[in-house]
Amino acid sequence: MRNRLKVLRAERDWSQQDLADRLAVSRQSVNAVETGKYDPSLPLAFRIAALFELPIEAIFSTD
Amino acid sequence: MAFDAEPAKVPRTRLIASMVLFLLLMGATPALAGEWGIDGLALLPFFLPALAAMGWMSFEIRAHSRRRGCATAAGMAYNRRMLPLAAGYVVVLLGAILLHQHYHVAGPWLYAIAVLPALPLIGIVWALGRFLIEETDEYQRALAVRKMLVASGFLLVVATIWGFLEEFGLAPHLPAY
Repeated sequence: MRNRLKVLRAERDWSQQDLADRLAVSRQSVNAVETGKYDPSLPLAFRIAALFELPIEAIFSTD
Repeated sequence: MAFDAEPAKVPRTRLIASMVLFLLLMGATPALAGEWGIDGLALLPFFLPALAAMGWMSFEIRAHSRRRGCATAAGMAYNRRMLPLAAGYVVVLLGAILLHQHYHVAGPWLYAIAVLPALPLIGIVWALGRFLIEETDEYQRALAVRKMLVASGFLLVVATIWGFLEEFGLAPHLPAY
């Protein structure tokens, strides 16, 4: 699933490890979601959205 | 911290060295014990280098997963539980074999000695289960489940083929447990 995580991260000058710490997941998991290797579950997607203060559809898209 | 994509490749030399050393020692120790006629209680200290190598490998696995950024609390706990379980299996198995050979145990005690080596192995299954329950990182959990499935599937395929070869007298009987 395409997402804007990398862009949103860059805007806040967060590394993957920073984002991982804030989401309480491993850096490898953040990388997997960013590169589209893994689609987050709903709870994790909601936590990501809450962290960036955006709706889920503003971060993830199907096309 | 600098903005990064996937960080540069993490060096794996020490990890691989520890794994090679463990495999070598674990393979050589029983063979050498046979060659040099080491038996009885002397076997237990003879296995100490192999167990120490196991400890070093466990340490390097933890350090490597920290460097790669895939270390989680549940993963570290699993690694820390595996070491005493695996070492315990070696020691208990040796002890059971020695007791059986030298003291000719019989009756209910023999049942107890026979089942004892199974306990650490059951503990390993427990540790795997605890990891899946405790892991809060869903991606790491999904990876682990996939690894377990692939490993189990591979083992089933090999055991099935080997079993049929045995049935037709084309392969020796192997203790499948």
